Order: sequence, then C-alpha cells, then structure tokens
Amino acid sequence: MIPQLFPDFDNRDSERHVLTIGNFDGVHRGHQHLLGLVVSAANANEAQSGALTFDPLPLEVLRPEVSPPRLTSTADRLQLIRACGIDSVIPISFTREIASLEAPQFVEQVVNALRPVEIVVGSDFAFGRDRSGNVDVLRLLGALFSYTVTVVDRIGDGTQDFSSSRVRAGLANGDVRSAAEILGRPYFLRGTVVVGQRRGRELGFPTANLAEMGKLSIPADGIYAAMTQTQSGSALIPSMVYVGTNPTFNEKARVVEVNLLGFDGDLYGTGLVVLFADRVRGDQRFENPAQLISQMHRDRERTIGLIGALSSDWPGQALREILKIGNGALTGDR
Amino acid sequence: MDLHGILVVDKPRGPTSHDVVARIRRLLSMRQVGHAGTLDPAAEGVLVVGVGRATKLLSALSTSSKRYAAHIVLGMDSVSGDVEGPAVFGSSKVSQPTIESIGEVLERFIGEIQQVPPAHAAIKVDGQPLYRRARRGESVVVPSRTVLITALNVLDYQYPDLFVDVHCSVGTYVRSLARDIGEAAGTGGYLHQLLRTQSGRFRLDDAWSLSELERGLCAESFAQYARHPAALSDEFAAHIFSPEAAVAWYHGRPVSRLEQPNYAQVHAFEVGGFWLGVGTRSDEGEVWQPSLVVHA
Repeated sequence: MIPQLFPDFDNRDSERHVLTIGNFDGVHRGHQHLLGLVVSAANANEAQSGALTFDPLPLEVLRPEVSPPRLTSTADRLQLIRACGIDSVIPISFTREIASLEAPQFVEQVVNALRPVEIVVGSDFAFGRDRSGNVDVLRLLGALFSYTVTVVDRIGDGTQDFSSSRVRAGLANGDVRSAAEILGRPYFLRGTVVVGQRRGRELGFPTANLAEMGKLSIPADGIYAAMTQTQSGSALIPSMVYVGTNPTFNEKARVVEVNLLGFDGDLYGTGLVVLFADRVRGDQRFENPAQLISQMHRDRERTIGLIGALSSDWPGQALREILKIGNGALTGDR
Repeated sequence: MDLHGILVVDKPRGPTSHDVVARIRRLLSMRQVGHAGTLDPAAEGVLVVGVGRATKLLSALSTSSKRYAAHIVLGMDSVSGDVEGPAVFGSSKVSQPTIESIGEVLERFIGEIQQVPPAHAAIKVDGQPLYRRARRGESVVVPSRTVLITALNVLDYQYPDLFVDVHCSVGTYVRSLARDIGEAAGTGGYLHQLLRTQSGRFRLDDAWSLSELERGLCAESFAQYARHPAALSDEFAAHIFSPEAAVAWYHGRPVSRLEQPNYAQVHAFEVGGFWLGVGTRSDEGEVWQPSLVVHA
C-alpha cells in the first residue's frame, strides 16, 4: 500500500493550481517573496494558488536529534502563509512512510490531488526518499504530468540571504530586532501562564510565567521590551520580559517571565502572545536584592522608552489580522 | 545602437531552438541573433543565444561540455529512441533492476564510449540527413562515434523511472545513451524527457525564462540581461590594447603579441574597457591577428 499524501482529499473536482511546496518555518521575507510569486502566477494562469507544507517538519520526524526549534507553531505558520494571499494552504502529515515515497510517486499524488499547472519552488527544493528528487527531477516529471516549474532564487538584504537559520541565529544572540528584519514582523511566542516564582511579586514586579511554548525558539537570556496580548483582550500591553535559565529546576529549562506594565489581573491558566520588540540588556548577576530592584526600575524605564519608539503600525498588518489585534491597540502604561 | 552579448535562455518544452531565436529577434528588433547547440522542441533547459557580434563566437561553445538531467523510462523501447517515436513494449522479462545494478550499469558508460546516434538524429550520412532516410523507412547503417561521458549519476530511481545527471562532451546523444543504458540494464529503455542543465559554463540557474525575457527584454534593457561576449569562454585571455594598437586593430592590422601569455585566442579591450573583438595568434606566434573586429 502506497502511503497517501492526501488521505482525506476528494480530488475529483480539484481546481487547477499554481503550487508551492515547502516547510516555510518562520514564513520569513524570503518565503513571503516566493509565496507572492505563487499568487501572481496563479492570477496569470487563472488558477488557484496553493501551498503544501509539512507537519511535523520533516527533520523533526527523520532526525529529531538535530532538528532545530521552530520559529512558528503549525497553526501560526498556516495562517501566515494564508496571509500572503495563498488560496489553499494544505498541511501534509509527515511520517516516515511519507518520507519513503519515491519522487515520481510523490509528484503523481500531488498532481492527482491538485492539478498543478505550475510548481514554484526554491532552488534548494528536494523531495522524495532521501530527498533524492531535486528541482531538475521535478522539472523532468513536468513533461509527464503537464506542469511547468519555476525556480525562485533566494533573496536577501544585500549582505546575506533571508533564511530561517539566520532568524534562529539572531534570536540566539538576543538580537530580536534583526530577527524581525528577516521575518518582516516581530518574533512572537505563545504560551500558557503557570505559577512561577513569587519572587517577582515581592520585588514589586509581578510576572506571568509562560509554559507550554511548544518547540519554539526562545531568544537569548536577558531583558526584553515586548508587547503582550492576553487571551481575552484584543489590545497589546507593554511588557518587560525576562528570559533566563531556571537555576532551581534544571540548567537547561528556559523560563520566560512576563511583567505586564500597568496590568493588574489574574492570568493564571490563560494564554499569552508575547511579541518581542527589542532587547533591553543581557542577563546579569546581582550582589543583593536592592541592586536588582534598582536595575529593574531602570530596565522598566528603558522598556517604556523602547516601546514608545515603535511605529504606529507595529507589529504590521498581517500580524494584526492573525492575532485579531484591534485598532488603537497600543495601550497601557506608556 | 549595436548590441553584442550572450543571452542564457531556459528553453521550455515545445518551441524549437529557432523559435527562441525568433522571439529574441523580435524583442530586440534586430536580425543578428543565433543560438549554439540546438535543443529539440521536446527538450528543455539551457540554450545559449548570441546577439550581434557574439553570434560569431558561438562556435567556441560547440567545443565545450554539456550537462543534462534525463528521465529514462526502462522496460520499453521506441523506434526513435525517445518518446516521439512509437513505443514498443520490448522484452517480456519483468525483472526490475535494483538500484545497485543500475549503478553498475551506469559505471560502464563513464569515459570514452562508442555511440550510435539515433536514426532520427539531424546528422548526415552520404550527404543525406539521417532522419529523412529514417522517415522514408529506409534502414541505414549509422556509423558509431566516440563521445566522452565524464560523470553519470542517479538522481532518482524507481522502476521504470530512472533519472540521471549526465556530464558529457559535445555531440553526445543522450537519447542513444538512454537506449544503450536500457539495453545494458536488460530491460530496454528510452529517453522520456531531457533537461539541459549546463552548456559550457552557463548553468540553468543563470538562465532567463522566456516569460522573463518577454516581460523585460528590449534594446534598452539588453545590458541587464546579457553577458559580455567574453563570457563565452574561459579559455580566452583578455588583453587591453594601447590606443595605438586599437587604431591598428580597427584597420584590420595585426597587433604585436610581445610578451602576452601563450593563448591561441584573446579578447581585445580598449583602455576604457570597450570590447574590440577577438584576436587569433598568428602562425608565427608574434602577433594577434584580428579575427573579429567590433566597431564602436
């Protein structure tokens, strides 16, 4: 039995598509460029635009030990792809069985399900067993299955190409601004509020501690200026975020503690979206609580200043729609 | 305005190589356009097009190597060795070669091999194009020729579909290679689709699609799309001529080689960077004889 890419797909009346296939983790500006070309090619061909993407990501299944943390959850990734104007975003459940499909089998199933007239891929596209199928094979198969192939070169900012690994490298350095430059939007984390250390409250900085953040990349240790959306609100609340390692629990367990400025309410058990604006400083040791408290007051001033400097359309239209952020959303203690 | 240069085009399936030339002629509103190394209508990929004086240099490409991605369908023969001829389900053997045995088969084709061109090829025997005779149903003895395969790798294989990456010398018929690989594999086989991924130094990644050219190519934008004629060959040296030498050159007079390196040909430039053309070393080896002169 040949594994099926689209087990539940009724393909009898599929429309013609201009398709792309990829992981699109982060849906960064390079991806956005490619997806934009898919949309215009679909318009030119009077076809639907479609994006096939994998969930989990192939590396997470095939080599989990080397698979890097993600930049977007699956749900956000699909929404961000759709926000580029793609008509149908189709996640393929990736398994070892799917990975064992030979290149022609893979293409045949895609063709039967979605009738592509054109397939648009990046130049590093590879598919099928052992990633043996490359863009040349995809193109040769186009003669058999009547589609054309357009290969899109990577784009960049003049110094380097946009890539997910560049975003990860930026986050690993705490450089959330350069990560945002490549993403074309601020980097954000989603999580659930759990009871954290009470220390923050005693210091006069009550924090909501995030957990269940999935496999997302967490920026380097330090203090960040951020905006937070609560589960119930459409507004964004200025926040000072502490990212660090939890010394009492496990050296490797990272903690994300959010101090929502001017917000006083019970968030326990609710979801938060934290959008990183800028880094205030790196992590630091303090001799005594008094020193820590005075530094935190300075951090808070700096955070307010950094958030005040954000442009009025921050974090951008796509994210506003996806997160359903209302107009005039920048509220709170400024 | 005189335009000279090389356009690296990604020919789609369908049009003839000459159709591509005709489109570029129309876009540039000029006659002097030609192509190197014909691709059959059904084949696709890198087609090198010369514009202006660069057409005179296209023959330099005819000696350079080619690279193809080929889709070979095993288990079947066709009379013409490709999909355009009638398919003949040949051997009743159903044993499907393993990837290992395919690898062994391919290894036998690496190096200098003897190849019989397909009967439908555009080569002539006794002054008659082979394909004419083949179409008349005449059986012709096609002489074999020596070609060089420098690399032959499997891109993907699932019986009956075999995808290979071929690095070969000019004049190699991938169609014949596909037929011979099929025979050696014991299944028969034919070339289903051919993609030229490289011609000389020009790669598919660097090629413009026809739709990109249709959208933007015109005489004014030519420089954005074209490569300098000197890009045609690595083997040519570049030489900057003194103003006096440039004047002599324009009059068709040879220019002293002095201590120039020992190349057979040279691209000549003015001090300002203007391309003067191509010089060929004289038999005595002392001067560059202008073999192609470009006028400002």
